[in-house]
Amino acid sequence: MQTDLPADRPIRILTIEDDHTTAAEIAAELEIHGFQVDVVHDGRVGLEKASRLNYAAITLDRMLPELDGLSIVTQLRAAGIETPVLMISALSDVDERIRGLRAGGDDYLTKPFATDEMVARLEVLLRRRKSPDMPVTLQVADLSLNLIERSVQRAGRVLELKSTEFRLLEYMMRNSGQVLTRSMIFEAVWNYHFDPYTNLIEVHMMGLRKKINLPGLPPLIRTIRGSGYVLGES
Amino acid sequence: MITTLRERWRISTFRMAMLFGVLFTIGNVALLSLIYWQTSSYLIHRSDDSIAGMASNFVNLSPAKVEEEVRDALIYDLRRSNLYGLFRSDGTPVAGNMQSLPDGIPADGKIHQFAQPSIPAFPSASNQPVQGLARALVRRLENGEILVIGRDFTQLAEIRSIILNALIISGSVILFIGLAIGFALSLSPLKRINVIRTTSRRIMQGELSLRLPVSDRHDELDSLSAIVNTMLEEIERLLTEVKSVTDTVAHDLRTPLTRLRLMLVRVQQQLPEEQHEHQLLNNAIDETDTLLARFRALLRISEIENRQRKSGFRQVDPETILKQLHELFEPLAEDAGVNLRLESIAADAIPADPDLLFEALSNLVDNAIKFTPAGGTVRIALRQESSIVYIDIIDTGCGIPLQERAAVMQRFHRVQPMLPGKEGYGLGLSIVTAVMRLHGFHLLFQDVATGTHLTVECAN
Repeated sequence: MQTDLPADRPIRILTIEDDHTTAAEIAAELEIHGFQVDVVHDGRVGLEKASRLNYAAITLDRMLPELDGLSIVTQLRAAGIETPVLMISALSDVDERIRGLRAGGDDYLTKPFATDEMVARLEVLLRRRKSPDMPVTLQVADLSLNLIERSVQRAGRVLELKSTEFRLLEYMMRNSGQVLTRSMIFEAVWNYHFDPYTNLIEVHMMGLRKKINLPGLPPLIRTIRGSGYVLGES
Repeated sequence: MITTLRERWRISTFRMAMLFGVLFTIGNVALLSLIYWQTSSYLIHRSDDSIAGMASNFVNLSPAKVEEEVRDALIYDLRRSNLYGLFRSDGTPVAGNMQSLPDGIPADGKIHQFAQPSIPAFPSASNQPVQGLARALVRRLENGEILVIGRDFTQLAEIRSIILNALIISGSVILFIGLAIGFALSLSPLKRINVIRTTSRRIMQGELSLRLPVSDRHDELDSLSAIVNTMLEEIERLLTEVKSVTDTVAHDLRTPLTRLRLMLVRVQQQLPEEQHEHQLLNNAIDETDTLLARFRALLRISEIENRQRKSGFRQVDPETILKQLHELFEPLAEDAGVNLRLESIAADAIPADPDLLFEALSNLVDNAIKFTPAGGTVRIALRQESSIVYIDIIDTGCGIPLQERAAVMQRFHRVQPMLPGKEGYGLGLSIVTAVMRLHGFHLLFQDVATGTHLTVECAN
């Protein structure tokens, strides 16, 4: 049985990472964003802690001494523990990614990574677990998106979106208020896992922005320089 | 797997085994022929010897005595297997057990073989009546009478033909057994060679961890396999080393770069936007991003090149991929003032890793858009000739000079900047080349007056 950690903030994250420098970096970055972090350097201890305590999320290194990341996530899922797991690995091969996700990981990040990218992905995972139900309408400020009719309205006015723009907006509204990096967007909307090496996502974002930002209304999509984009009221 | 006889024939083990089979058969047939020939000549010899013995009793006898001697000889011939005949010069029988002179036999005193109807046909071993046969010498006496002395040869001929039959039958059986054994003997080495062929083919496709089978027979095939295995081990070790060195370099450089970038961003966030240093930091971050992207691309190339499995391969509809490609790049083209057109038809599915194929094609389309000035056109076209699917990326841009074409495919090569500020050509195309190689596809440059026409030939 898992013991509930104190329900009040801060949110507790478990970091299982054998490399001490990386572990310290992850912990530092997460603490900046207001999380409380437990760092474990060993697979067995990590599995034991993850099973015993109810963490909000786990960052899990793929390659660990004693017990590797894949086995940990497999055993956690087998025990019915659904804590969101962000797999972190030096293995960037697509096969490795698929294996990690199939074992029960929720997202996969390749080393070396920008720590803000890691935080962005973790926050999306935390959010996803909070609202697992499938709503018909997504609503952010005066912007609403109907998933059944596939229609979008802002302040009562119907917006005409192309199908790509619709998928992009849907992803951003599902994760509103959170920083979404370019690679997260490319993976989620287009389902490809390579670096597009170009300002492709920016151009798509520009198109979407033009349609959503109506004259006289506050802009809803913000660019976080060097990181990505946020949808929400500023 | 080897199935047809023609393919089998190409394998030396098979040929060798068959050759031994044929030689074995020839040897056996030769041996049997010798036995037949020896037996046959022995039988003839025995028969002729006794004829000569019989004939010796008639030497130097007067014609009157000859007739008497013929009658006596017949009395003493209890087995009735001898032939005696005394004929007048016109062929009328005088004495003996022959009704007529044998046809066409010269009276030269030598032994001849002929059909002798007077010998009763008897049922042979095969239940077929056998024509009577005789061997006899025919001699003309001083008074013109003709003397025939011979022996019934029917039974001996029958024995001879039984032996011949036995030889033919056993010869065919031996021939069949020889060939069958040769074939069977070649099967087991063939099976081993087949295993080696299949394994080698998989190794050639990148499964470097596989090894050739080595049995405990320690024969020449085993020693060859063992040598190849040692070579493979060495190759695998070197490859792993090179890969790990490349990866470590790229990885170790990327980690501090990532940290550097993060620090720059942090510092920048603390500066007001209008300050001059803010802009400077912007430039620094952009440069770091470029560096990081280069390392990522390098790692990506080595990753694709070292990919050992084709596990991501499946039948892919090229039309779907091109539609996604068009959709993904349309805003970018629009932004650059380039008209991006998709000319697609329904085509056969191709065996490919869809993610990698898409990545390669996006590099090509990205380049095409990048190097096409505003107002130009980039066309993505799908066509099929017989069973081969072609994907064309045609732009009206500045084109790639003929002498640069081979070079742009190589890693690290960068085309002399034709348009200022447009870089990243070299690594992008290296990724494309790596993906093409993995698929066995070909990237072809078509000759066009203006712009670039690249074709991906989706066939190995």
